[in-house]
Amino acid sequence: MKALSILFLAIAGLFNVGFAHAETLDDANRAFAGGQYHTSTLGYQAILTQNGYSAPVLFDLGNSYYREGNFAQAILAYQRARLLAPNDPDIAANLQLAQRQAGVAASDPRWSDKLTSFLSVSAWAWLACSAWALFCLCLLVRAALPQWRSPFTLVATADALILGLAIAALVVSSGQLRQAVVIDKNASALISPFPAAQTVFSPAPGETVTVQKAYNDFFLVKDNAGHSGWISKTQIAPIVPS
Amino acid sequence: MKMKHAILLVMAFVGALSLHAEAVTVTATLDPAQIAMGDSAQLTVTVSGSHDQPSVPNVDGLDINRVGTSTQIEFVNGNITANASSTYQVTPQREGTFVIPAIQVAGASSQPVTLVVGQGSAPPPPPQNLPPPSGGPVVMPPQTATAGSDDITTTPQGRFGWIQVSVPKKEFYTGELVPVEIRAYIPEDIQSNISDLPQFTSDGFTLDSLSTKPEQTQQVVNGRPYGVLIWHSKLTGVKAGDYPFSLQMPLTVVVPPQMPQDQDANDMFNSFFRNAMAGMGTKKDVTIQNAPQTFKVLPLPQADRPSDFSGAVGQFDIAASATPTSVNTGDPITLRLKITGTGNFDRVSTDMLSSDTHWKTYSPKSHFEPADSVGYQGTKTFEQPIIPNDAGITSVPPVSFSFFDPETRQYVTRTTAPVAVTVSGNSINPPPAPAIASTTSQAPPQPAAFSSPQLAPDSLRPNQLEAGSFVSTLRPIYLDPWFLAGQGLPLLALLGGLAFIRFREHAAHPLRVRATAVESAIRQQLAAMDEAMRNQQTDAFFVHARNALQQRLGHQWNMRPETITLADVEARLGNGRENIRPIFQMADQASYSDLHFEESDLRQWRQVVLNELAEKN
Repeated sequence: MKALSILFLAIAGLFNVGFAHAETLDDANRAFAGGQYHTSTLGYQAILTQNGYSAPVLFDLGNSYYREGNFAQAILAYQRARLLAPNDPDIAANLQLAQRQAGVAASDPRWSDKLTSFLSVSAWAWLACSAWALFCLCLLVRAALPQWRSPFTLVATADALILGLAIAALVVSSGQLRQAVVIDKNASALISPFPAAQTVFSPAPGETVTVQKAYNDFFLVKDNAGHSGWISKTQIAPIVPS
Repeated sequence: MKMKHAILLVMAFVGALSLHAEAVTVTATLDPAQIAMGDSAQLTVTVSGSHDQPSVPNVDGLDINRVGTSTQIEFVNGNITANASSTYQVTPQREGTFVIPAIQVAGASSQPVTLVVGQGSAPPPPPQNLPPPSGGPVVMPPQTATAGSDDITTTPQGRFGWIQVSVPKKEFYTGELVPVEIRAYIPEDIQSNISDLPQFTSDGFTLDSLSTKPEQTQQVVNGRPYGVLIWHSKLTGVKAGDYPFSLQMPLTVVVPPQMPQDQDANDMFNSFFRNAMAGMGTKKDVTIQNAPQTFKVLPLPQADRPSDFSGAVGQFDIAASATPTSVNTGDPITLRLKITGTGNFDRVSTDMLSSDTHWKTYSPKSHFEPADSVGYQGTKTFEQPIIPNDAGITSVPPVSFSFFDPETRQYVTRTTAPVAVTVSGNSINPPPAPAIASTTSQAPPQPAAFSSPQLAPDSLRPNQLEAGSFVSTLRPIYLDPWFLAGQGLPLLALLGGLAFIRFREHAAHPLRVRATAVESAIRQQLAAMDEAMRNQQTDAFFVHARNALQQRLGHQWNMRPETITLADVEARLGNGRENIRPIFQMADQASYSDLHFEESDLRQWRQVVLNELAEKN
């Protein structure tokens, strides 16, 4: 009974959180609609701080940053929104728009990226998890019910294929975990991880780079053109916050 | 007489305290300030900080008579305030404007008050003469007797007060809001405490909560001063039908003892004495109420009811505006709709504009500014952010609002004029595909002001209105250690299940079952053998020992145990396992001759049996 009560309270709490932020989102949207973009930015950030990440709120935050003229932060918000909703055309459109405004090249997605964007990374993980569980179940039923061996062999095979596809998608999309957006307009990539080191290249604000490793306060990053250099951790923001 | 002196002492003490507590103030109020000839006004002079009686000067043309005195003593945070109020009935002898000069008490003076006596003002009727005036507000007179619970005294008419209810009409529609004024008349010459607010009983109406701080005034009715509590509220019919409307208010009154009739009411000493004696009377619970009157609640007609009717009943006007009026596509515009009038503003609602291909709209927010104390009149303003998706839009589409007008008894739909706007830039949406257009034939018509949508890839897509589901982190779930550990569960379940299946198959094998049965039978025989050994029953000991060996050999030779004889043993074992034969012999011998072994011997034989049972072949 106690456990049930706790469960009920937990569920009620979840619903409460769900309802609690609605008014705040509405207010932030109103501020945005009223042209008070800084206020709306703060509102969306507050919602994300209080409730976690949500694709629509990240999208709205990106729009708010866009209207403020902060295209780098807008790109970061859109990229994060795209992690949760990779198929959303609005996110893709506004991300492309922000990248164009920021003057950064938006690389054409590879076919593998298009395939994996069918689902979010976590959705692929859950698919793999479900396929794996079903696969094990099929093997078990196969052993327990020899008379049903053939159909369950078929199902297990299909499961194995889905499992393989999901794992492949996870492997492909794992690259997103190492991506970051340059948010400092004065960002510069150095030849070594020391402030006094020589500059190798200067990434544009809003450019997406791939983090390869870290050393003290620097990340070794690689841009789309293949340039590598050490950049201060304060000048870029990982798309997936650690 | 002693009592009278004691009260005087107390009053004098209180008076001294009050003098010590605060300065003397005098206030004079006249209610009403304008009357007609033949009516009376009530002059109340309140003295604070002195027990001296006010002296009202004579005014030519006015007849001023004292009708009562009351004293109120308050102890607040250790401070004492004593207020003595004297009430006078002011009756004009002619028309005109009269000024009652300042009233002096203990060096303090009140402000002069003015009374205007004319011909036109209609006085409030006395309680026993309150027929509802035709065409005017419905005024419900008090009942002749007060109904209540068993402990409530039936009150004679008006003795302890009454309730008067004023509503503008007797028939109204479901949902229609009707302002109501409630007046409770409580006589001032009787000490009373209000136990509760007027209680409302009716199935067909709702009455807004009454304030715990009603307006207060005083009024003289038939020469008797009354304190009047006034509430303004709203009455709403909730279902059609004829319903009585009744209000009751409980009071606790102190019925004073009978006073000698020959005392002079204007005598200050007797006035104080009467007030003091009033507090010593008998307490009674009484209820004052209005005369129940039946109201008719009419149903809203079904015919011609607009689809956007939200339940608003009243009379309203609407006006729309928009700011700014010159924007780019994707930029927000605030559309305002003001609904002004009288009615049930809580039911005044509108969705305003709906999202379509040309406009992205947000849910409107509203605020109400009442123009009266009960919210019957006022202005409700709706504000809706809207975002144009297409360049070329020249106006915001009209907004409509529907309500039921109880005066004309018809539904009314008011529509705003289109608000002119200028939308520049490029369109956000691509032109609709023909197939989609054909399936959306029932969609609202496009505004006439819209023209030539253009495809523009560089327009920001508008905000999303729903927050969607939240996740605590953007890190993929598969990096969560618990998630990874959880993947071991199906594997563990699989291995466990396979092991169980294997075990079950193994345990269900016939040979396994047979071996288990044999071992069980051997254990039983050994137990019986041990029992016989302890009881030194030699014959039984060897019989059970042989039975146990038969079980073992029968299992090994695949024979029924009870059919194995000494001959079988000799034939199959030959010279091997020589210890088995004597046991079979002893068992056979025990069946026809007495054998007797000591327990120590039997214990040795027992070991022999156990050794033979342990032999595999």
